[in-house]
Amino acid sequence: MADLITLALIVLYFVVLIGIGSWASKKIKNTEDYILAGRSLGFWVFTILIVCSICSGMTLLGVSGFGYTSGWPGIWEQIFVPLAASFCIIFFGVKLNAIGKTRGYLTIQDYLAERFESPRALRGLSAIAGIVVSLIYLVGQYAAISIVLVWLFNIPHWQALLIAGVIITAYTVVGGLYAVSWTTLFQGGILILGVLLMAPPVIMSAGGLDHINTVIAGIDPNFVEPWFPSPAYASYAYATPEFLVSFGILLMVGLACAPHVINNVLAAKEARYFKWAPLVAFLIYAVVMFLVKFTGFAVRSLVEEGTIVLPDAVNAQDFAFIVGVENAMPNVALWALFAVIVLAAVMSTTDRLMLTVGTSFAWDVYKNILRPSATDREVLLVSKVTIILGAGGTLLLAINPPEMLAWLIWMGIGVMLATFAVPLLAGLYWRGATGEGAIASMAVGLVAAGIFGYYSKFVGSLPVHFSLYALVLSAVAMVVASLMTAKNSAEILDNTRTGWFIQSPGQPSRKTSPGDAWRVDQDSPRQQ
Amino acid sequence: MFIALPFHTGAIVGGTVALVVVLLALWGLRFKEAA
Repeated sequence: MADLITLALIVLYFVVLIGIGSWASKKIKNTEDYILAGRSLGFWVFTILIVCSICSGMTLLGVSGFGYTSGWPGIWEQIFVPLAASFCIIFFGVKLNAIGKTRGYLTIQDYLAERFESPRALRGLSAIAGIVVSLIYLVGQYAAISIVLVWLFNIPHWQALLIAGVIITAYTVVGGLYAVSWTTLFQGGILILGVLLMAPPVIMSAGGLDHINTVIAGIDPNFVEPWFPSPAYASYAYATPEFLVSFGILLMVGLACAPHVINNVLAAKEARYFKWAPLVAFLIYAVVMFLVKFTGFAVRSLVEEGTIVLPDAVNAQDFAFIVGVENAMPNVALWALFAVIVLAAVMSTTDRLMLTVGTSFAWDVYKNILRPSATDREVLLVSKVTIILGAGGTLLLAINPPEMLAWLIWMGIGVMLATFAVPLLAGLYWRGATGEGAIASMAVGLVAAGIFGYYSKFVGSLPVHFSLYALVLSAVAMVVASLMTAKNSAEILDNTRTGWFIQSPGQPSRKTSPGDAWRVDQDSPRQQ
Repeated sequence: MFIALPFHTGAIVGGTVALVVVLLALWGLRFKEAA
């Protein structure tokens, strides 16, 4: 499959990534530069970083695959996933960015540790949970990368993984969030332009949406309905109304509170970005997602008409976009560009996940729990070593590819939702939430997600996504444990802007001058 | 029928997207920038 132009373009693409990493490495003077790019991200870098941290291997491969298997009832994914970016910016970003600047937070664990007055237990639990879910998610990402490289170059699976792993690890290790954010801007631009260029020809090659919808309605009339009837009558017909509700919560809230996504809000330079970033992120992402979904419909139509055949693989639907483009694009130059687009989508999430794993361990576990006296230099070194070890471990796991790429990634998102949504939302918006409540909800959510996830995969199907059960149990644990334990101090609650508001409280709860209710005079709470 | 899609499917999906865009635009318009 690979020819000289494809190879040259991919090598050039990798060289640019390494170049950005090298440039970024010169900007890093301390841990804050490495973890948060010195809180210097401008509007577009920040917005595209949020979008591309969410936009993963699933966006191109899984989304078109889901479109291929389920038709229009799966279209809600194209609304919920872009909404995750908006949800993250509005419900987490506005508050956390402001508190993060005044209190000097480097990670979300810094926030949780202060808000719940639990500098070790909750910080440790949330950091380890974040690392575990990021690693799960990483395996899915690497599997997606290898699908592309194996198919492009016809090389062994492990070689494909090694090439991608080494390159991503290299620029992430040397450049931290500076490298990740700027490579993401570069990759995001390629991804957006690429999908705008590639998807329409695939849709046109299948005869246009009109014809595609007529063909897929012939396969199953419910393929052109907004959802499948309940209960599900076939394995592909699981997008029933009740499932879609849990699916919406899973994608919108679960992705928004995923550690590799939410940590980005701390790095935005100015609070005013939060004004239009939610709309801009949604629009950009939704256009890309809808187009990719339509290619899934198009390929199903082409397969039904016998024009193309998908590979004989368990996860054949994940090849829908690739095969669709191959069919529609005989032009080699465009074809090479497509390879880069798919890699861009996957790698822009992978690098952010790896950085999250490295910084969570180095800053939250090593510096703030194991060795508080560690110097900046030491923390940076530990972070880099962790990224390398994390990459190695997940690459090894990815050598045995998952049965279905999308399922593995969904498992990751489900665990993120059940583990982080309740402590974060309750912490920011409910003054009654306590440290014990946060620890209970996080632990219950993590364990319940594992149990329900296992059940739904290997024992029997559930009417709604497994994560919803775990989320409900996590919320119950938060409420019960919080009501049974003493509230956090009013000073801490005020310092962390806790309450039922997003931008500013109706009534300042402390005796301060108007507009000065949240000014913080104390030193940063994090351990130095 | 729109692009060979049943009217209710187009209306529900299109209406939801439009609603989301309007809500996010309202958020932008009501956002108070710090002085």
